[in-house]
Amino acid sequence: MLMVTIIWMSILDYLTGPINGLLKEFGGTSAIISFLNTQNVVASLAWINIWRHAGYNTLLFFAGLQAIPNDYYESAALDGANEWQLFRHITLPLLRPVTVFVLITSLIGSFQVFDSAMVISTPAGGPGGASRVIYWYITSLAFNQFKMGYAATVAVALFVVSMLIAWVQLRWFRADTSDIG
Amino acid sequence: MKTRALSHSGQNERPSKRRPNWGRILAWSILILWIAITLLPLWWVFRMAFSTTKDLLGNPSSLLPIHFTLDAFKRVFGLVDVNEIIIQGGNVQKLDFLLYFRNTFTVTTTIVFSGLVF
Repeated sequence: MLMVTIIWMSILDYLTGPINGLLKEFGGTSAIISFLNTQNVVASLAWINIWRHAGYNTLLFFAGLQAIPNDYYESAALDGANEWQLFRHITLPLLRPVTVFVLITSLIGSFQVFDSAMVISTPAGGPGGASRVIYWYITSLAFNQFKMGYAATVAVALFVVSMLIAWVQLRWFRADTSDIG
Repeated sequence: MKTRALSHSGQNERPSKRRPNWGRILAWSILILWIAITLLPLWWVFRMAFSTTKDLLGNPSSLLPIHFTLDAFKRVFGLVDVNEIIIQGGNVQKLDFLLYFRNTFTVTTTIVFSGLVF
């Protein structure tokens, strides 16, 4: 993850990255976007983590798609459904367990972003820049300010918040029932 | 019922052979774009490995390696002496890739064997 962040930092670089090079060719020198300044560093951090986890989530959705029996599509096509109706009324409801799993793991995992946040904020002025994630706060409390008890409290609070969010999502999506079979 | 299903699917197959299916073209183009975005950092690393250090800063936006050269590889394997490194503009430190690889290999084999045996 560290190396991925460093490579993306060199791609998103203000002067020597290919994205800004393309923008410079098509739009002139004023069209360059600074991806790693204090306003945009959170979006860049999000993009790096999206890039990293997209393949895994695609694989999970693919496995979920394989589990849907073909008979549903055939009988719906016989009844005269077009592609959009097939997608909305057969695929999406039957993908509900996989969707719940992907959402919960993505949400809880995104609360725990730490290594890429530490690496990406080095040129933007240290972790005191705009990319202070909650894990940075916990480690800074514990190892810079030596308030170990307070840091443990923040960690427990993070745990409670993650558990609440996961519980809300499980209830909202009715993840204990499935429409297959 | 079976023959009815067969004739129905035969009727569906005929139109999509003649005219281009725009939905399918759109889906494939999005997929190809995403594949390109996913492989971009890997290609970027290859490009940086095969370019000279000075030209990396000069031509930021070219996607191909600039002045295809193997100098960086020679330096990593420890085949380049200190003056050449200063000319190329790198950190003046002799690198020895085979030593690092041997260390990694030692650690890996130890971990794998311990995991299998214990």
